[in-house]
Amino acid sequence: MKITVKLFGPHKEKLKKDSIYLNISDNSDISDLIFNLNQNEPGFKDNVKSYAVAVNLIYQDKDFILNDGDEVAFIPPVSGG
Amino acid sequence: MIVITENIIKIEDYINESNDSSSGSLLIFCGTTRDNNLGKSVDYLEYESYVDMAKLKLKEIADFSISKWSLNNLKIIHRIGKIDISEISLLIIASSSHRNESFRAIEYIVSELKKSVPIWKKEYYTDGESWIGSPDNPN
Repeated sequence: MKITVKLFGPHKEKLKKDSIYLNISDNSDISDLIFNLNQNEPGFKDNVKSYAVAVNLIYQDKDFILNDGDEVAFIPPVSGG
Repeated sequence: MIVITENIIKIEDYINESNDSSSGSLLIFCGTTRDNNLGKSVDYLEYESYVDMAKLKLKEIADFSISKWSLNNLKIIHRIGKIDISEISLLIIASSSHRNESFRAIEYIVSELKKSVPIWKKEYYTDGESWIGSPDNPN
């Protein structure tokens, strides 16, 4: 299934891109996606353990099962205001 | 009203329509960009946002606040992009029958915004730059 990964702030800057498009196995959860990205995207895993994850604009836990077409955002510690 | 904008925030653009005859309190909070942080001199800041999600989270916070503190009107405006020192990055206007509700609501909104709304700021110094909230530069 196709997944769009969105990157922001320091993470986007470090990887020099704001989106990653990839195919992963059906019934994968967020942890599986992170494992895949750690294997295939140099620099991805640095600090990502402290990041929150949102799927289609809603925060989710790492065992959340993904669906085809989902947009998964890795959210570094926020600092608005 | 929830607004995320790259434009300069002018209080007067939002204040008039916030008045209503049933309110005895109209409270305005401005978050402004300061010229120093953790002993460093800040030249300017840049804000980045995951806009669609930020609007969604701000609406959740606003809906909760309106219900909990019986607000008659609430506006949350956050600026993104490059912001010079002393400019407004966040404007909140809350009106309610009595002042306590507005004060409590605004304190809650700012606190929640800083915990969960996907907006990030980066400080620019004469000799470098740093994302706020990163391990070496906590929020």
